Amino acid sequence: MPETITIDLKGEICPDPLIQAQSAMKGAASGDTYLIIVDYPLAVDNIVRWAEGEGDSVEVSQKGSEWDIRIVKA
Amino acid sequence: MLKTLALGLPVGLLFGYALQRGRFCMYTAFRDLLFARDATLFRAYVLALLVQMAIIHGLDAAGYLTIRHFAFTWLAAMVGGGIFGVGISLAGGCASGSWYRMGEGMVGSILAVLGYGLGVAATFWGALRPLSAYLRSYQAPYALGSIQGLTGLPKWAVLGAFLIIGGVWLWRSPRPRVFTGWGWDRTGIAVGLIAALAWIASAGVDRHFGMSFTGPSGMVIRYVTTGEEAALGWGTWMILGVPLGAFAGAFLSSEFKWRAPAPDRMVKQLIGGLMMGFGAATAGGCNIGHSLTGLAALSATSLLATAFIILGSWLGTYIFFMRR
Repeated sequence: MPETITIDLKGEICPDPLIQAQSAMKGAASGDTYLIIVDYPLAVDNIVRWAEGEGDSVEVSQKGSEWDIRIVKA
Repeated sequence: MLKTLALGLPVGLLFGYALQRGRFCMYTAFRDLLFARDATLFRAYVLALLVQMAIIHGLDAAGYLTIRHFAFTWLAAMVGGGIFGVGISLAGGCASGSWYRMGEGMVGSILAVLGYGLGVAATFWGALRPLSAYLRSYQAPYALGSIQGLTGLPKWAVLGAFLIIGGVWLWRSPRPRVFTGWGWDRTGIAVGLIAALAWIASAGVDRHFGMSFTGPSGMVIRYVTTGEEAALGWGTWMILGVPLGAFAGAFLSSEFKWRAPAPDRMVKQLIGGLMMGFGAATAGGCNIGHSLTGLAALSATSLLATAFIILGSWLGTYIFFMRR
């Protein structure tokens, strides 16, 4: 089981959540797993659409007003 | 005044609710086109524009509404639109986006909205007025200020081109699965219907325009600082409803939380808000007054302003966020 890399983006607002997720995952290898935490509603689907567009598999869970986005790099 | 409140506030409540559920932020819509190659939110915007366009021009033809285009202040539209565009990147949201996010508990958006209102007031009535007046003095003849006037095409052909080309593009567009809030199709229809409702409700108080955020943002500051009752118009009541409607949307889906970015980011939001205020007041509208309402009314000024808002938002995103 590969290690999960956590990217905590709580408190970040547009355009940072997507830009920081993109730059943190730059150079990721296939099978790398990321946990991205956001508390900015718009950023959830914004990041998910980008990741799914890259072909990665994505899961989202809401914990109150925070979201966990799990991404496994394709 | 009660009639103005009764016709304005509910439209703002509905609008705020739809903006929050749809995550309808036009800064994100414009930015994602270039930086994420993702047109999802832009599709919501185009659909809202087309829905509103079809309804209001239908009502205009039937004699129920009066649609007029803006004066063709081309230099102010370009310079003001560009400054507004850079401003929304710093503010972390467009005019409507910043107003609705206050209802989600985003403290930085409160600063952006205060800066925006102050910037509008300074440009309409204060220290920045001479600069804005100079930029607005460059005007082309009024008849050229509509898209049909500028292109020489009949109005029905311009409307038909928008509806058919836009409609076909949207029809063929993907509908990605959605994890939170509404998909772009539902959002676009809701925002478009409420934007059309804004024209109808406004006509009830003899205001012949649709949704607008720049004038009302300035009017809130004006009313608070002068107490003039004339500042409490339809738009002022409408805009006060936006954060309340957004709060309802956020609260009911457990998304409300007081939250703030780092202090230096919030200073950027305030500065961005001031730039938005000067830019939009000079251009004669923001992403709502120009890009949603004015463009639906087929104003050439709005088309020009929208192009420069998009360019400005790309420039601001590149300079302030991508180069780090």
